[in-house]
Amino acid sequence: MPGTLYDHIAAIVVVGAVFIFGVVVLPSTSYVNMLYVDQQQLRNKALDVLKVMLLDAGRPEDWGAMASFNQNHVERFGLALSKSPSFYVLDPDKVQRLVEDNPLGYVEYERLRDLLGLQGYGLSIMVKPVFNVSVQDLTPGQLNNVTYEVSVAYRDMKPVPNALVKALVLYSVKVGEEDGDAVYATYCAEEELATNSLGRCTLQKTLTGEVSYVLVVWSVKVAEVTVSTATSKGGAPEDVARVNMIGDYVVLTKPKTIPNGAVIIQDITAVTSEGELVLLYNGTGEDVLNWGSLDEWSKEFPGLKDMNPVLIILDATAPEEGSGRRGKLVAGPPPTDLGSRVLSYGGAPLGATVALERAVEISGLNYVFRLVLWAES
Amino acid sequence: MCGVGASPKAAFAATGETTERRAARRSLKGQMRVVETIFASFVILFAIFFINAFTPTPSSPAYEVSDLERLGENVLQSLDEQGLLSQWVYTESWGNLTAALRVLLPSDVHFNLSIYDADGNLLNQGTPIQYGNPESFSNSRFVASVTYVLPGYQRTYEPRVLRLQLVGG
Repeated sequence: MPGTLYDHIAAIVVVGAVFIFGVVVLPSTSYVNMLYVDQQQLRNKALDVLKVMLLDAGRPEDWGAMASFNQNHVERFGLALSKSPSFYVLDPDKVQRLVEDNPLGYVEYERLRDLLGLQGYGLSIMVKPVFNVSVQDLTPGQLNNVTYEVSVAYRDMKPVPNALVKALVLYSVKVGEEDGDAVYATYCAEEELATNSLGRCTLQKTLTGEVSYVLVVWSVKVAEVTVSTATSKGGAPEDVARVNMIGDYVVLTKPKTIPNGAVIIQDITAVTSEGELVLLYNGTGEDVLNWGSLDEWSKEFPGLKDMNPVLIILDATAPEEGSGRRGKLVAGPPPTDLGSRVLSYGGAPLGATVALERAVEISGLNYVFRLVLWAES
Repeated sequence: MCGVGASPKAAFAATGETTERRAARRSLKGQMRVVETIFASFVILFAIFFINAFTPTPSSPAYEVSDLERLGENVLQSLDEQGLLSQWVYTESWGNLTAALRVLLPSDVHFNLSIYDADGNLLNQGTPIQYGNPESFSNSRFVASVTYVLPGYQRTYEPRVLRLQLVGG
């Protein structure tokens, strides 16, 4: 009967509309719950990844110190220092392989995702100091009268009073000329300060002579926990050379910068976690870095890695446009400013993310290892 | 055959009325079915909403707490390996302990450290070793607690029990 037919058609339409309404409305009201479940699963994944990264030494166990590094030879990823009796002690050679644009090779982002089985996920990594140390140059451009203001703060930006600040001021001074080339010598001045109630202190130094370069190594101690950083003035250090350390080897590389000229190595010094200088090598005058076949210089110093140096300082002379040859001081491995080991590695976060942090030890110093994970799909 | 004595006209008249009434009854039934279906759908939907509103969201409290516990153990062990934990506990350098925990733990983790002697006396009473809002320990569902024992200092047996509470801020 026509009436009944219309009734049944109307019933089908209404039921269909209610069904679609339920399918659309129900997920949106449960969205908060589903979002929470997704976040929880993402967090669980991030915890697993962090555990692998920080507690596993990877395979081969010394993959960070491979000569002629090839990321495809890394079979399993892990940053832990092999044979360390403690947890959360990382291998500095492996951590360096997370520094993008490391001239000695690094693990690329896509390769890392493959090794960790993170297809469909994105991650970013930072290895930063346990508290913030910022150094402001109050006399930019001046090399004889240097004044720096140091600010020390916890990671929640609250100032740290009575933090011990030890400054090693290294400066290169022209002492004469030889065969038309200027001769430079490096001097060192040490100063100890303490921050005030605002977490600040000021270093003021007058340096005598024709100073061509100043490098200050800062060791800041809060409750026996040290953060080490370096600042320089007198030219961009990355134009001179890049200083790296692999195992017991110091490796210097020459970037393609202008002017192109030989960098003559005068000496190489290590800075320990206590802020002490240890002379590693006195240059012979024949140790040269340059473009082409001489763009890499390396030397083994047995026991160097066990010394846990925080920084390696290259004292050299290099040509400077319009100024001839000048003394330069370069610290490495980069990054050396802000006390970080890895400034930023990985992708840009997208959507909901999970961030996890752990305190780790690298070369005798404490750092914060921060992992941010997100789902890409 | 219509029946003995019944006229065809009368029979037709009787049958026509029944058909109309049947059609009306069927139409009413169809309409009622539609209404019933709508009501049933709403009942089902309301039931699902009701359950969703009152069902607790799935969570893994074990994971959060064990993660915080691991964090706390890692930090205390690290300080102990450096010889700093014993030094500060036995010389009652609560300021150094607070500062060290503050730099080594993530900034969004609140902590409260209590130190007891072998008799259970609280040694840092009056000088709390803590960071963050104390109410977060009572308000949070996931409070981790780590117990760490120091046997003594400088060849003297004098146990100290450290109880570190951690909560995500």
